[in-house]
Amino acid sequence: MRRNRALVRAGVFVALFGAVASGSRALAGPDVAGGAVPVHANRGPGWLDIGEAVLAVVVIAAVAAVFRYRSRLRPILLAGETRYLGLVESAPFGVVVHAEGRVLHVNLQARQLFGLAPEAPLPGLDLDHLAPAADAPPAGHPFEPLTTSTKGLMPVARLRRADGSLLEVQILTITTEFREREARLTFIRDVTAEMATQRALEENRERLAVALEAARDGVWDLDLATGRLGHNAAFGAVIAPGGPVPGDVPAWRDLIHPGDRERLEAAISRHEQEHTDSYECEMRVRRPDGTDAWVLEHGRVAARSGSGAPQRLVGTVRDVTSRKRAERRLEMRSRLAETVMATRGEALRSTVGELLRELLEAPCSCVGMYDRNGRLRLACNCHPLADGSVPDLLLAPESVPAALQQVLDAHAPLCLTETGGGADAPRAPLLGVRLAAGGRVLGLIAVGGRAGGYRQDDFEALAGIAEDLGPLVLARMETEAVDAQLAQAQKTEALGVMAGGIAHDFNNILQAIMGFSSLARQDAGDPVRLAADLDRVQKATTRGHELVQRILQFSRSEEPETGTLDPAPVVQDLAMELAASVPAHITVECRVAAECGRVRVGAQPLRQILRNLAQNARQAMEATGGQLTIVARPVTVDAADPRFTPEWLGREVLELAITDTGPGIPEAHRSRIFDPFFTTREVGQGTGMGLPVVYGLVTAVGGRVHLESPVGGGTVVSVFLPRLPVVGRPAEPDTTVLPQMAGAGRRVLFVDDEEEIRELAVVLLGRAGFQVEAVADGFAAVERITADPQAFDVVVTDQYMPGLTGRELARKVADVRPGLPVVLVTGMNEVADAPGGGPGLFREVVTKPFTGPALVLAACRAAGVTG
Amino acid sequence: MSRILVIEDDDEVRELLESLLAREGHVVATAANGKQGVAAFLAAPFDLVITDIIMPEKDGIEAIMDLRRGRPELKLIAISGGGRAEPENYLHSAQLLGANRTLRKPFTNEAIIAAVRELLG
Repeated sequence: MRRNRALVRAGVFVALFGAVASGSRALAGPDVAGGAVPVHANRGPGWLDIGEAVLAVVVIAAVAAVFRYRSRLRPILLAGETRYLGLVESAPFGVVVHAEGRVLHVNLQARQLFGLAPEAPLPGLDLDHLAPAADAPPAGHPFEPLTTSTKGLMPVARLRRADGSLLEVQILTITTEFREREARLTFIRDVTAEMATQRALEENRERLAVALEAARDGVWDLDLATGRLGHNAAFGAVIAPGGPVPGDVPAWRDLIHPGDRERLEAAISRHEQEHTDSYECEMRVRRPDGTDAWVLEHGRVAARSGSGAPQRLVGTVRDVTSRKRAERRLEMRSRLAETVMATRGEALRSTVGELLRELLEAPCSCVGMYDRNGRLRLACNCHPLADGSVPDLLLAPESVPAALQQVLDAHAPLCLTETGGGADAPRAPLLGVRLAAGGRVLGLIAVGGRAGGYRQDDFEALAGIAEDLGPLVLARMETEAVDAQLAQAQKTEALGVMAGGIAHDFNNILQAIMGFSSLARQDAGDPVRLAADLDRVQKATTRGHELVQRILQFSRSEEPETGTLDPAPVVQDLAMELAASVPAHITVECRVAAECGRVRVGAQPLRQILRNLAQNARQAMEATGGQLTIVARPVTVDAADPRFTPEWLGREVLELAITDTGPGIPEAHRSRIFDPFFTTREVGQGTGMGLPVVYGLVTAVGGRVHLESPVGGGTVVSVFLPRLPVVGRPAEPDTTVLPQMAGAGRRVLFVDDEEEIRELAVVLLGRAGFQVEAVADGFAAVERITADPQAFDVVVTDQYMPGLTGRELARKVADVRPGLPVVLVTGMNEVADAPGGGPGLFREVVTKPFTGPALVLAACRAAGVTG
Repeated sequence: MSRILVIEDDDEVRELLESLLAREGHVVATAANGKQGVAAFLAAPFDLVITDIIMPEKDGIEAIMDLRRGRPELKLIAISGGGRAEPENYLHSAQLLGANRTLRKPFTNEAIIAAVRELLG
């Protein structure tokens, strides 16, 4: 019974071992019990990858199966030693029965495993002789220890065959009874091949992992010692489709773009030296079929020698062309957007052309953009083909090729000329895609001239570009359409600024009128105060009038006065007026040439020109002070003068140059300086109408304005007015010969704030026989006349003076001594108020700068003496 | 009787305010722009400052910022007739920066006198 029990146990183990060895197949059927399950010594990769859990399940399942068939097994086991040995012999794996280190029985399988002849006498042999352990075991033969658990992987022993070759076996040892004594039963399975595979798998774990990760990636394995390059099929498909797959590193590297090789080498050497996890490098590859691709190489050192030197490199190559293209296209799109919106003319053409070529990534000798009417709007990179022929796009350069007309006509954004269709469609010589945006057909974008023509995928690329370009072109068209409006809008904005300035001034004027009229009401009982209040009101209304005049002057296109004029007195008059009004830290110099000739411009516009320019010059120096120079001189334009265009050559002009020593005009402002309303002043300091008015007035009479503002400060504004040839000089008063003592002792009161003028007048009038008394202002004059109304026969007064003006003085004189003649000395601008136009305040008017005879003559007439 | 500084670049408006406030019995000093105004204020103390906004050199906004700094008790009136923007815009800024009262030009004599009286108690 003991023996039988042992046999049962042995049978169970046989079944169990077979089940374990054959994995899930053990569950396939009743053969399990007989141990007839075929066991494949070399099951290929993956067998050992079954985890412990799976194994446990299998074992449990096998045990269950064994018990299920126990009733069938039992009779076999009970059939005695013969049947027992028969069972052992028929087992598909080696079985060794041994006790105390000596062999009792070896089955046929085991003999074959150990390379022993079937007939060799084995019983009694030491286990160590039968199958010596290859590695010196710590104690005893590997067959000795009992297998304690079947849940883990069964131990593998390395044995040597008789011929010395290595044998790796998986062993299961149990106790049994054999011929009435206790023995050990060792089941042996040859796993030599499996273990080799296992080791190979372990060695190539990286390679496998990477390979499994991306089946389409090319996997490569480089043995650095031999230089041998192993790879999978995808490797060739990635880097060298349609050509020989490189067999070594140099051949591989030759495919890489020269500009990227150094980067790759650097990435690899950094990885090798710094022991990073892996390296990565994106690079361009020129494939044997002539196409370019982007490849991502990802690799790592798989084995290092004892000294740490890399021995093997493994890695993958992945085709990332489509991603790179997408990235590139994004970048191109933004550049294209920038270009279309910001560039013009030739720069636009060439840039768009380059971008399109790059986007299409296909050489094309010609890129054209046509508008919706089929007119070529932009053609780039158009040059004859390599064979000397001309691309179709160039055949009819001004109109869209007939083949592409349908792209403009058709309802769909058609392409590929007449054929269209799929990838197998015939290659088209021209490729056109409709450019559309916002539901509008804007035109057509076409390429041509590539050897071999274009196919469906080219169309798709171009269609993508057209999709991007459409809105840009539309935006550009709209931008151009609003360009003109923009200029108008800027003027409107400027008008707003001007309106702001006017509002500011006007509110101040209203404030004065409101305030002083209110005070006047309070002051009704006090005539002196009342008069002062009302004077202020009047002054404010005058300012209001001037403000309105200024606005009207700009908005009205008044015909300039057409008479001719000697500019000299106007210039001198203005210079004096200016000198009187500028702050102390600004000096005014005026240089007027003796022979300025005459200009065809009215006194009023000329004064306006000079005033505006002087006002700007003055303002430029407001903070710093400086010198304001006014020069008037005749000029004959010569070829060397850069201020004139050629058609001015030889012309006679009057130059009026107003120079300041202020900070100059910033470069950025120069182009706008003559724009209406352009101003750098804050609101309230001017309305920006100065220079544009000058420009308008000067050009209206056929003149020109030139501005110079050299670096380092100072500004010269030169106005050139056509000068008329001098035909007979106008009669000059200073040629008049006056009789000596024409004044005949008449008494003159001369009023002028300028000491030199007083002195001059005293001399001039004195020589002419007048008795002259001179005072510096109107108050002194009034005092003098009031003190003795009969003391003078005539009063000669300047208009502009501190205190009373000439006009105010004349009124006072009329009050104090009606009938006393008054002569006014004034600049041209006051001529309008002369005797004819005024209320008869003045008997005579002398314009400044006056000559001696003119003054004397006027004084004589006023005094009633005739020469 | 209080000391009032009027900062106003427009001659007539400045003269009006000077005349008006003098009649009210105040001692009035004037300045033609913000820069002069701040300098005048630093030279002698004032109870009240009336300032225009849009002025050359230094505008009223800057002047208010300068004057208000460290002087919470100072009374400030801002006046403006506008410019690039509506007067209200400037006056609103002035108010945020510390003007006690604001008046839009043109204002009546009574309005400014009332504002001054109110502020000076």
